[in-house]
Amino acid sequence: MSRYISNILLILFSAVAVIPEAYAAENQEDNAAVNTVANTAETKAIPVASKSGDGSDLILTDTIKVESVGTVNLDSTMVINHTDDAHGDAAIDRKQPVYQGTYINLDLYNPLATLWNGGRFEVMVSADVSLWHRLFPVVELGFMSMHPTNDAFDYKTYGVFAKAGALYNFLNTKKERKRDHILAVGVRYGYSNVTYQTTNASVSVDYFKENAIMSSDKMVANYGWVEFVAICRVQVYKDFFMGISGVLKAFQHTYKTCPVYPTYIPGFGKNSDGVLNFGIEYTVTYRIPSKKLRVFREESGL
Amino acid sequence: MIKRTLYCIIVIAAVVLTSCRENCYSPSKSLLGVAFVDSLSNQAINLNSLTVKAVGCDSVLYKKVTDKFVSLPLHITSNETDYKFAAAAFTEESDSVKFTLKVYHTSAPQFVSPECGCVPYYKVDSVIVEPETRRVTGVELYDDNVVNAENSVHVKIYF
Repeated sequence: MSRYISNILLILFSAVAVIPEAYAAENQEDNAAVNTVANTAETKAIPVASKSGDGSDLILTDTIKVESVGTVNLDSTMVINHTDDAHGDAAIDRKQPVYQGTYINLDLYNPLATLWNGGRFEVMVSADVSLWHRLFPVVELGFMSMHPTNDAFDYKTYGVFAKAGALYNFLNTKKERKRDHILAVGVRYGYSNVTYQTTNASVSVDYFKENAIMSSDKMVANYGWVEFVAICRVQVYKDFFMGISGVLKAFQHTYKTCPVYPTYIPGFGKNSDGVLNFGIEYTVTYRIPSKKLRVFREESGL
Repeated sequence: MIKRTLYCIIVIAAVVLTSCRENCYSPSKSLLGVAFVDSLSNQAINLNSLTVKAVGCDSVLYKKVTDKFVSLPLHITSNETDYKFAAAAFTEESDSVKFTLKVYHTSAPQFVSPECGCVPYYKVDSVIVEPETRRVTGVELYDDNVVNAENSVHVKIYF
């Protein structure tokens, strides 16, 4: 019970810490852009002229303010952004690309949790792809190992698991966004293969006043389950992100089982009939640089 | 300042709660569940004044109780466990209920958790009822896996 409360507290901590900072960063950058346009001398008034009816003279028809960033080449291919002193927003005259980056995530929470979860070591790596910054298909691979032992038992278990699913982002989906934070929910399906064995187990039956030392053969089982995920991921610096996820694991089912059931299922947690498991993941993320995406964002002035 | 204080409180609380060692809340015994069923209506029935005792054991497990379900421990040093049942007659005209239940099984250790340790797991191969009166009409091995779950039915005895 205390473990579940602590997981909820960690999610609460991240929500309090991360989400307001994400929104504050967005607003500060928008305000800074407005102030820069309004107050600095970097805006240039460029005369726009068109030819007169007979084509002999150039007639000044309008002036537009151009926000200069670095060296501006005033050629025919330049995208000219009309600046609005009142709002300071820049309109991007092109669609968002479908592909917006590949993210590699490494979970830090579960390896650290080995210190307080009875020695169960679990590590997972995942990769997700940003599509329109809305949809994030994700795959995850992981490994679990546990070897509790004392005078009364020696239990060894290990296994691998894989998950696949998709996330849907609700936050920060504008084309003009300055940062790539996400707040998403999604569904994943998990599959696991686990090997386990108990040796030197001290077992007793009080009614018959019997004590025995028992051992079992090595057994292998396969399990599947469904996960419901909520994730908050924040861009910390360029292509580096940090995120926190809450995971609800349910609908556990077996593909191959053994008479003696495994106590822990890799990726799912403690095994029991009809159990719902709650998990938490704290990830560091690296977005693989994409030249196409970088060019799009530079041309868009982001 | 308030936000930093809130962060510190939440993180400290999370660390303290996660460092608390859990107690053993799982059942620590694997017991064979035997249910008594009426063979005509297929409904559970009570045996009155029921006494249950393992063969070769002095202590009585159930003494003159009225129940429709009993939980029986099995041997871990032997592959056979026998129990003697005796109960009052269902009606004044009928005989009292007396029979012996023979359970043939194998056992293995089941690891529950670091806090709970191990319990025995049983695989029941077969069950035989040797009635001493005519009231028992049949026996069914309903579930052959005996794990540390409470109130699970493994054997049904029909009357």
